Amino acid sequence: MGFFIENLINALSYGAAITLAAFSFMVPLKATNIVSFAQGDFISLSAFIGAWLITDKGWNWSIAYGGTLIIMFGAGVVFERLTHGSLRGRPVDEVIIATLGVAFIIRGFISRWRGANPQSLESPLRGKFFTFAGAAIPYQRLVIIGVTIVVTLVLYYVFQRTAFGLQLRALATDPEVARLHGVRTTRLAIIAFGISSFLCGLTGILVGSLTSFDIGLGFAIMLGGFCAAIIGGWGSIAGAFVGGLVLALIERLFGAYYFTHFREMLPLVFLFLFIAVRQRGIFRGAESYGRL
Amino acid sequence: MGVSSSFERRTSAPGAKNNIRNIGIFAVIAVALELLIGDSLTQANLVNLWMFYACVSIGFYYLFGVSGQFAFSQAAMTGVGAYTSAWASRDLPVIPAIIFATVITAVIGGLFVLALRKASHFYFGIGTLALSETYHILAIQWNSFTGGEGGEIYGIKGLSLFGIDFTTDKSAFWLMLVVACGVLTVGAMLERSPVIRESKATRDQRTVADTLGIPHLRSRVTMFMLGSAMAGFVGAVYSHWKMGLSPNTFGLELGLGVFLMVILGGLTSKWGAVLGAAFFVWVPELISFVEEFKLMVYGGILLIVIIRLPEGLIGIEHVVMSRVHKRRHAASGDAPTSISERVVTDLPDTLKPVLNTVETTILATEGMTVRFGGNTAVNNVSLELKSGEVLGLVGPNGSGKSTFLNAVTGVVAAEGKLSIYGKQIPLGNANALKKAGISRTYQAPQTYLKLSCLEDVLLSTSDRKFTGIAAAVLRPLATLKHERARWAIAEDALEWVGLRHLADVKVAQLTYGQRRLLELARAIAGKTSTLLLDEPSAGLNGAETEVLSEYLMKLHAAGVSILIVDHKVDFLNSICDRIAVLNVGNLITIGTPGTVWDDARVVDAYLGTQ
Repeated sequence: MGFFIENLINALSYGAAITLAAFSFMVPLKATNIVSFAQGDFISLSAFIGAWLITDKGWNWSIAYGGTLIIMFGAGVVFERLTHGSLRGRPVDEVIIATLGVAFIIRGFISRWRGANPQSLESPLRGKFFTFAGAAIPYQRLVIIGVTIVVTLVLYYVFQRTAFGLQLRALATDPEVARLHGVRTTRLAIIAFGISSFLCGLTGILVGSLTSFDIGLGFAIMLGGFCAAIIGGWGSIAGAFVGGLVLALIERLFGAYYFTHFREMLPLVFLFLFIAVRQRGIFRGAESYGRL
Repeated sequence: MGVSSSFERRTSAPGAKNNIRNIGIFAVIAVALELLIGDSLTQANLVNLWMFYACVSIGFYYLFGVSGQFAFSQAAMTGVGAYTSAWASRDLPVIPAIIFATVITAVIGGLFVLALRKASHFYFGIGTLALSETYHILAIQWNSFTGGEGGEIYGIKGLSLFGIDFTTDKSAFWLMLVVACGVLTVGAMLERSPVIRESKATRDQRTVADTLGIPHLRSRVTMFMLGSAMAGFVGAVYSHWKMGLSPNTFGLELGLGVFLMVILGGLTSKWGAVLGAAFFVWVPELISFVEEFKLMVYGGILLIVIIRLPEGLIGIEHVVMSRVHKRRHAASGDAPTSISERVVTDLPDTLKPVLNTVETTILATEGMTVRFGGNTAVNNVSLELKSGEVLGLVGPNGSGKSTFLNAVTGVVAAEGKLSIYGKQIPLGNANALKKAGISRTYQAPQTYLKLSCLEDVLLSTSDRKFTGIAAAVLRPLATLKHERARWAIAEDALEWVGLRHLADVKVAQLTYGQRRLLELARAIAGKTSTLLLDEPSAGLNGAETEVLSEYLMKLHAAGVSILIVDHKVDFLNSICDRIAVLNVGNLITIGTPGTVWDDARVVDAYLGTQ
């Protein structure tokens, strides 16, 4: 029982993390139809920045976390200017490749700056846990789950209920028409990318403080995020949440018992199945994203 | 002036000029490099790596650049080839092992595309990312297959031929040279077959390609197989050259590296991939600080190239050449480009359709209905096109004329029955129409901006023998023979519409009116006995419209049946045998040009009730 509960919490928190990652590329996707492949490296970057501020600079964890998130928002703004902003009117493929270029740069920067050694990110909850039914449950994992639920609700509200969300969707559907109707498209795109990187930052800090990490931290989460978004239904907030949950249960709970060595392949197999058979996912992603 | 055989027929493919010369230059450069710098062990290794990376990224050029499939799997496919060959060579000699590995890689690639055939562009990309991650997990975990802990293996059988071991960097050079020239030769063979242009057509506008009779799934699957096979093949050779493998050799860095190589080099030619590979290998070597900041430099270059130089290094040459060409064109600007001054000749014999002598109904719809959401654009329309007639289809804006045509040709989903020559066929089967000699044009000309005019016309060929990759590689002479016949017909079609002097010019450089004519040339170049024209006179002035009607009369005289959607009443009256009138999706009447305009319902539709 203890093993089961530990794995369940483990799975849920993993699912929460990849849901956050899925959100991080869904926001710019909703606004600009661009899928960024740099999100994984943004996630790694935030964990490294957090570790640097706390360990090297000796900042208090709360200030360091806040600082990291602000830096990440700024990085997102720069990212938008370099990719989407510089390639207006060009094919989507070219913008996506530009995001790959940025991914290279961040990755190269991190390895040059911090090297390949495992890093650790301090957290007030690090290593603390309570016991429940024979299972050791780390507080940090519960925090990840809680933060994700809050972010899901906020995003859901923003996209569905606010003028900002409506403008974002208008921008994705047709940037020219949106501009003619007075949507400030440039500013909106910048904000969307900023929020996206902010979410990457959140993911990086939360996951980075679980255990030690290295430069590969973000890539695995990004891949999980893609899987979650597609399985849930591309572009759907609720879908990403459910998709993350389903994937995590498959990989971390089912995979804790069966196919242990190859458990990382399980989500990929599911991803194949969904892309091949039911492209629009569990929640049927919005029509306009289906053609991507 | 008439179309005769007086002009010279082309004998070599327009896209494949200088291929043999260029492969020769490549080989000479490679040998020169080997002789000049190959004494140093590092440099000898780098020359070989250059050719290795060039092959991987040439494969990627065909798969991504030509076929337009966004894939992250190229490096993984190289790894699949390498590990498979290493595994197979435990029981087999090296060369059969390499062949086996190449085939396996191609099959995996083919099955992958087939499984994801319905996946849209971007999903497909994520699918390939998952494929490449799957490779990585298997390479590390599946020790019984790889034969080493964590995929690190040593002591793979080396390749030895004629008493020479191709396992040192010096001797492996000759092996890699043969491999690279082989891959380039396969590319050259493809470039003189229909494969490349048909892949591009599928890439740029799949629905148009469908109505031209190009099998898009075959094109995608075989191009992916080709690209994967090239990767798998060099991967296999690599494993026997290095005699050892590590999963990370074909990891993320190479996966992103192939993007860098083809984009930096230029996505418009396979030589771009070769250039890009040279850059990828030597720049970190030549500039010492680059090694430390390798990834950042790569990323920065990728970003700068995509923003500032989207055609890549090859594109620089292209820009220069097109400036030179423009100057030449300006010098010889006496070509008959004004459409209204055209003298229209009879349709040349090579383009004349093979006709049934018996009068029949070519095309008949029954209860054709198209709904867009709650809006019924075409409502229960039954219409017949008889052989040899010119049938006009008119109606106010939004009456469903074009939509009807789109429904017939399978461009939009519809309900109802469609029969061709009395035989009912399922809706949405563009190929069946094409096979029956029915071609169409579009309201806005759907020509391929990135192809040359000749290539664009060639797309509609009715001769679909020897059009695949296998034919291009295994039966090059038969392929070339059929290509020559296709070129001749396409040139006749271009000559007939007066665009032959632009045969090798990119469609993007044509004017709107020229594109209309080009589309007409393409429509008749495929043994076409029936033409469906969607507002052919839109955007043409009075004189140009007259020339157009002369063209249509000549086609009519040659026995081509025509269904024409248009607005211009005089134009239609002058060419149509019958005119059908649509209003708000309903067919309200059919009659001769003399009577149909007097019909009260037609007057009502156009002018409103009195």
